[in-house]
Amino acid sequence: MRYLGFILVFLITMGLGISLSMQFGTIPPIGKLLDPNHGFWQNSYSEDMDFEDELDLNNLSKPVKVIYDENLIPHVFAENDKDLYKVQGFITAKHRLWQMEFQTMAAAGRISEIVGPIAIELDRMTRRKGLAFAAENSLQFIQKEHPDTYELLEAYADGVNQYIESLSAGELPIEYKILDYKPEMWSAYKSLLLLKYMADMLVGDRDLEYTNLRNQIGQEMLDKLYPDFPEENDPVIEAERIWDFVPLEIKKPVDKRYPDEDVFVNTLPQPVEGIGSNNWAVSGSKTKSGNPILANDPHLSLNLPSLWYVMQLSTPAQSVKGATLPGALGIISGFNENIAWGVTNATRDTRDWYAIQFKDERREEYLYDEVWVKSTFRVEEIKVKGQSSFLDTVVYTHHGPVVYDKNFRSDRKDVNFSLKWTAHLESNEQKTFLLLNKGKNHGDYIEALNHYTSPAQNFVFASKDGDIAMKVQGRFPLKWEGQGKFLMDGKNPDFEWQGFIPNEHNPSTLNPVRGFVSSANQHPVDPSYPYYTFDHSFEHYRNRRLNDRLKEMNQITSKDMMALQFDNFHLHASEALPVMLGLLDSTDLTQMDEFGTKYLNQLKKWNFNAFPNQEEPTLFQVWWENLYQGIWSKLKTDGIPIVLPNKYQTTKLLLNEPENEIFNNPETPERETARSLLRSSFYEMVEKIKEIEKAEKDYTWANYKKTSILHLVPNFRSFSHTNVYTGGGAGILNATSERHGASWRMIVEMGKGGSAFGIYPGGQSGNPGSKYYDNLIKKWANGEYVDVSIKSEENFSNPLFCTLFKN
Amino acid sequence: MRKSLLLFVFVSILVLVAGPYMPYWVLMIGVAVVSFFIEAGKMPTFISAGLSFGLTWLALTVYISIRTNSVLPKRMAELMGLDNDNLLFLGTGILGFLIGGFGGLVGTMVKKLLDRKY
Repeated sequence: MRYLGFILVFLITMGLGISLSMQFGTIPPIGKLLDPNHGFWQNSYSEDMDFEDELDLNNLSKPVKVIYDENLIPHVFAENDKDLYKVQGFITAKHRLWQMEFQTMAAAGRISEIVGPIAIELDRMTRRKGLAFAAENSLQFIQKEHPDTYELLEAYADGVNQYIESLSAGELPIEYKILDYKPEMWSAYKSLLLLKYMADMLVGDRDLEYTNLRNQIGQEMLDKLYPDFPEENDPVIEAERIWDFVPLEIKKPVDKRYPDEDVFVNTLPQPVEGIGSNNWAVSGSKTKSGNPILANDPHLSLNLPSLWYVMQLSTPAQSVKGATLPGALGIISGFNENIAWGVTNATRDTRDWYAIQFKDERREEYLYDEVWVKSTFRVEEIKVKGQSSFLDTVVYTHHGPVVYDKNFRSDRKDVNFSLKWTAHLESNEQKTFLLLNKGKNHGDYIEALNHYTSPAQNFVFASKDGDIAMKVQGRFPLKWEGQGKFLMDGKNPDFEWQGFIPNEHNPSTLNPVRGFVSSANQHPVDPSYPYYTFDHSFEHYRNRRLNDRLKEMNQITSKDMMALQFDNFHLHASEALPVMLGLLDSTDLTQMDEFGTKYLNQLKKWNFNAFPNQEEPTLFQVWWENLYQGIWSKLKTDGIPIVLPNKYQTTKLLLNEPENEIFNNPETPERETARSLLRSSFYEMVEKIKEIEKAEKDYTWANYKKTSILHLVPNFRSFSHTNVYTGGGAGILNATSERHGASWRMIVEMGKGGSAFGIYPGGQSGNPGSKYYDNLIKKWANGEYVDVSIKSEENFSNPLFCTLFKN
Repeated sequence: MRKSLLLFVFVSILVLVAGPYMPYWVLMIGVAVVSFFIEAGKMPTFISAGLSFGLTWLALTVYISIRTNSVLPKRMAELMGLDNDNLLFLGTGILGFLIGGFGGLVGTMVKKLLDRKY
């Protein structure tokens, strides 16, 4: 009997001990998590409460000093590059380890390892797009061709790994504790994966959607609704630019025939519209101080921990400061004593699709130029938490991976679409940033950009010498006009890219007469540029607003540039609303109730700003969305992906041809016109706003758009900030929409004693328990900045704390 | 009573001193060993070791929370579907009580079994 009692108690105790350390479904191991000495409680310490005055770091050649300012921005003072990047790796891991690893896991298609079967589809997609394949290519290329870069990548990895090895159970970032897994070792390969992650985030294409559209509405209508250049083209490189080179010749095939069947695949999710960025530089002739001023604000998904991490990296040779990407070396958007640079996404169709004809179901050979060519297979083993691995075989042709086939996002046996993408090419983007960090003048900047392939960026530049410049840099395929806009025939060599545009022919400008350079994801060039530059997602509003303002501004100060980054003028509304109101006024509005009248009067008096406390932006937005759906939803058919005309062309159509037959929906008995659609969408808007007014008593812009900064794991709602009170919106210079916006704002004034300001929606710490996790959000939402000017080791005022790294 | 008090003090010291260096299940074995030698009787051991372990954990969480003034307990409570972050402190204490209590109980029971044999 006593034995029985003992055995019972013993089993309960064992059971308790074991079950508390195990994960059940999505419930984390509760004992490990609540243990005050190792669990989440230990993540309550902010970095300034728990720091080391001295740390041992192996393989350092000289001691390295790191001084933190009041916002936990580290200033690293090293004697040489290798030490510098080793410490960058260590410090970045110390504050952002979970995030940098998670992002590279995402790029490698390994999220299922962390969260289980829910992510298999996502991982398959990532792997089929070939991101890991691309990072492997780049790694081999860098090892062979750029051993200097490789050495520094290794130094950085060593720093990260020494941090991981020094981690105690209590110090482990909280996400590992909740999701119950451990960090693995970092490597040069992972840094490259991170750059591919950025490419994936920023590059899309609509080739398959266009293919369906062309079949549906015909080439003529397609050209009308989706022209290559807009009426008011205000390109990145000023339209007056004379092209001073002899373009390469491009052979256009005589009777090219695109495959013209409908494409029934569930196409890949695209980068969301609203991802984009602004950058500009004004020359000394337009500024109060006579020094150039440079500004950059990349708009990306608003996430915590923030995508960016601010650092100063100093050696006796130079000091460079700005935003880093945790996982990549050096500064990505920043400045040193001599130059400043920034990036915006240079969207261009660099992803093309080829329909492949295989010999048989085994898919070992495919037809190309009338012969059978051998394909290769890459078996992707996707490890799944709590389950056995998922195996996915991806077939590769010389074009690239076959993304869509009978096993993935298509029900049809004969679908085999191969993806060709510049991100798959051998490249060393890391070198561009390493060189920019050391750059001294315009020549250094151009040399640095020559190493840059993908994702293509508009690189803005300013220097102490007084130069300002802009270059659209990436490795752009040489295409005949219209090539790659649609699904292409993979067996016909006529559809191959005919090489690449040489770097020297990429659009660029230096010190243009207008006294400024700027970009906002719009068309890169004027139609006089001798190469084909198609993309689906060019911006039509921010660019024009930006250039209009820069043209009229003089005696510019940094403060003026801050105001411009936070500019809330809604250019689209200012162009569309007068047309909409004009057409609406000419219709019968007798059914309008008092709410409708109120809203209409509000809209008529609107100053076209989108401040958070204004109600008109909400009215306009809801009206516009309903109108847009009213006009275009008739084009949509279930199962056939297409892309709808953009708001710029839609507005032009309303203005110029309100009676056009395109407004009519042939499936309804009555004949729709722009007027009738405007009226019905207006009434729909009134009903919706009435509902919001009743439910929330508030239809102000901030409350309607609900800007949210979400943790990278969307389920971790309490680690996120929702309903951030701030203005702006998609297509506005302050491009803060619901989930996207300025992920980093930077203003740099060059010259002796130059100054710099920056802000981002987050904080330096990746730890949700730290006060530095989100301390910058409020300032960001209010359009404020923190001083990020370069600091010297000797005169560092008010350091938060210092750490000396020794061998 | 004296033994219970002694056990309480020893377990508390164990959790405070060894806690940062080993996971809770090693502490559990530690509590069993301490209870084995102190022999306070089954019920007194369960209560005393449990209370000691639980209260020490609770005290640690309160100490950390006051020292750091962090919003993390609130965020974690919300993440775990609890309305009130006080429940997290309480939960940690109760968990500690169970870990300490059962650890101790096993210790005394082993001792009693061995004693009977001789």
